[in-house]
Amino acid sequence: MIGITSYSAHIPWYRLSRAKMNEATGFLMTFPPPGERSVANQNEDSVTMAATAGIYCLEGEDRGQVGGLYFATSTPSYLVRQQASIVSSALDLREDIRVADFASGNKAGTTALIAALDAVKAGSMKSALVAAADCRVVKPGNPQEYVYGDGAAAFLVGQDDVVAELEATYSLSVDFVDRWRAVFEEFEHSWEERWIRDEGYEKLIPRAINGLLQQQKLAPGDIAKVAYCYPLARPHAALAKKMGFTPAQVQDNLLEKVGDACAAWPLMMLVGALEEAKPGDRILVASYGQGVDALLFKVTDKIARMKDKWGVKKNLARRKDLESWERYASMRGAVKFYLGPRDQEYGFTSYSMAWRERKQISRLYGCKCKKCGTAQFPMRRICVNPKCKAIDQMEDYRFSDRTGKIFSFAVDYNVSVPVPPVVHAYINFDGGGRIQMQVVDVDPFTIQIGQPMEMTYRRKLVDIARGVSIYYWCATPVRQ
Amino acid sequence: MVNGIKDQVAIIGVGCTKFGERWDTSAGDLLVDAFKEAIKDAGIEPKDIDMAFGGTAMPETHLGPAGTALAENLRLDYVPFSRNENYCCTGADTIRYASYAVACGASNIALAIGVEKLKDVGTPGLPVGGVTTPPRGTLQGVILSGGPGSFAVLATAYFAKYNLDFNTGKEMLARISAKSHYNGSLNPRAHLRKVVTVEEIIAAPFIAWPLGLFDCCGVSDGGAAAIVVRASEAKRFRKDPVYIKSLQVSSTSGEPEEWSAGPWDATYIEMNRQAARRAYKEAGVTNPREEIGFAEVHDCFSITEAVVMEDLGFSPMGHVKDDVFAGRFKHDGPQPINISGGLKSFGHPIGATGLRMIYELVTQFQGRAELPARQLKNKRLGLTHNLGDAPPRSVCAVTIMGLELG
Repeated sequence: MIGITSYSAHIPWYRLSRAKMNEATGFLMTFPPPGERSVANQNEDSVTMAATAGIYCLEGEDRGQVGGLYFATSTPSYLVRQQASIVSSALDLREDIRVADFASGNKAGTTALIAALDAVKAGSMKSALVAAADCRVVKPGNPQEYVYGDGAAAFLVGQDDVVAELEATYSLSVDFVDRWRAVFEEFEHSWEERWIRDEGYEKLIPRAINGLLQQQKLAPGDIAKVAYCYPLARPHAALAKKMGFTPAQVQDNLLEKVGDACAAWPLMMLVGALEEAKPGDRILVASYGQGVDALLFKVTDKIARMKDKWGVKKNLARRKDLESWERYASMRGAVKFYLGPRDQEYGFTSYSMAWRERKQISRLYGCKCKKCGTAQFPMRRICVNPKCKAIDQMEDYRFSDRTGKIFSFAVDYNVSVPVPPVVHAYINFDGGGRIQMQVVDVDPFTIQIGQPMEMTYRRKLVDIARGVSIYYWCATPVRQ
Repeated sequence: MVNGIKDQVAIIGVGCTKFGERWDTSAGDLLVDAFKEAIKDAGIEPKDIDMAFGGTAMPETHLGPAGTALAENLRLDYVPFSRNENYCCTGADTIRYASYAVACGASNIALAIGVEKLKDVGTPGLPVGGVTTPPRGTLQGVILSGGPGSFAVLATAYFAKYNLDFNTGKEMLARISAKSHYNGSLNPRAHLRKVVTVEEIIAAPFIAWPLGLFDCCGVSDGGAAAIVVRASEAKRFRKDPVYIKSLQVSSTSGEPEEWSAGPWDATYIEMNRQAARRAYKEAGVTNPREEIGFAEVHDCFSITEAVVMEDLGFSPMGHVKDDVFAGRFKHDGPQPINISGGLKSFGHPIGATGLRMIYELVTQFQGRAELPARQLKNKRLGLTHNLGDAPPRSVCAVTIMGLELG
């Protein structure tokens, strides 16, 4: 049996009310859809969000068994530099695995998932991780700004302990040019919305979903939950009826709470469907963009294993109102705000140094003294314990999946970030070790000394002049 | 400890420029100004100097990474000139090297000089990387934090450990800064010469919570110098040389920063304690609260001065608040601290600071304060203290000196 063996989602902490967005940009005569959208924090991008979902997905799983990683996004941080390798390092996967980036639109996520399932089916990987993430930024005030949301989903696929078996896929590929962004452009374009609706969503989605059902000789009634990417609330519901589904069969498309998270969106919906599923349920998920990928899964009794997974529901409950559109615009770089006088003070990035330090920076490894058992960071050759000081007795020790507690902290306004302040802290790790770190996704004035923290992978800095995104680890309150 | 430096070396001349935003002066100008005053004070000619040690912490912004540019500006006669850097202990380290040079007989008259042009970096406050910007994307680069944030963690931990509610804690810190501003207002060489009230200090915007604007020291240009000889020779140069009683430095072992099982709780700085312990031993001080008459300490932030008072043994652990509220450290208190105005008001050009503290001690001992209001009386021993880098991984320098031998 081939299928999904674990899943998770990541929805950024910040949510921005669309009505609030309209207060800032409504003068352009745009009208907000109801609800709110998620906004990736200033230290997040698609690489970090994919890593975050991947970390959650691999909780309780054996990382050493993962034989591949496919990363999907329409918002890459590089055109040249494979980002699946960055995600793979953050997840501390083995180096002797196959990884790939899937790109260019909403379908990237589902295509990556199909490719991973195919690879497992072909026997070239025992298991593979698929992580999709997106955080599109449109020109300020573009109505799509209301609709788009940021988020990620991850799936582990394999042959053992399958929680949802892949029954079938059906793909459509057409050069339907509804939205596009050239490599030299910052913002995307679109053709007329009514045309996209009538000729795109209304025709391509039913064609793929009906195609899949016919191929499998199934009727709409055989499907427990259908999820498809149609980012217009009322037409989305109406299309289900046209395709023969009842409202109860339609998976929540997260539009009112998260928004259209592009490559991650269909996979986030799939996570949402799996969270509610019973053994025997058939789930049909369809992406949209230059065609459609439709995938059909059948849930197994192993689904009970997933009850503690960090899925969509838990993400939705962990949220913080973002105060204003202006903060979104600064945080996501939609508008270039003043970052203070220090924003040009970048030292160069030494990749030969970073490569030597990769295990510490990318994978957050420190070391543990074989003689006295003291865990410490960074990796040094002489033990920090004053009663030990053994030389060259260290073994590698991973901190990224450990929790710790706030030792002390400060709320620093003297920083060059889009939205100050930054929380600067020392974390004492459970099991030993102390690391200086930034604390993210937290209201600074609620932090307490002793507060439990876990690690999260973030973008520490973007050096625009040299085209460098620098990733590192931060602390964040332990998920409840 | 072997014999130690006590009473082996004397300071025969000191110089210090006006600190501040010296837009019209170069690092070379400041160097010459401090040098000119120091040789005049010592009554020597430049050719008498046979060894020189220079301190600058930010070579990028002024005189380059070695001693050559410093030497060229001073036109010394091909003598050895070494530049050193040890973060904010840079100035203190130059006089340590100069003193060792004369004490061992390798030099007869040695110059220690420090200078910094912090106001040529284009930002108020220090640059992001502090004194140097490490390569980004490396371990050093990704853990980078600014000065205020690095020291503010002390305040957070201190308030929590000693149950100081936020308002009391802020008032304690504000009183420290208000005292230094008052002292600075009396000092013509100080950078910031404005009296600031406790209320104004508390109401100022946060820089790194819980520290506000007035909890942070001035960022300044300036230079300072001292000339040292063997103690046995000192009276040949002047009747009132100042004798070095101790020169100690302690650099972190990494324990506070990395050893979570260790005792450090972010309410003190271990390197302060280590350097002070060794300095008191070297100088023969057993009760610093009584024996150290006055001190210039590293108040880069108000909280730093608070914990330094405890680390140096001037206040009992956890009780600096009582001494601050009682006015112990004010100019007219029993143990005046930072009579110069401190880093807070006098300013903090990194490479010069350690030497300008020594300038303050020497001129106080010699009764040469510019205004009677800031002239301290009957002080037997004085101490200077510098602290470099962020609290858990600091380097600390403590020097003790006095007007009399023995």
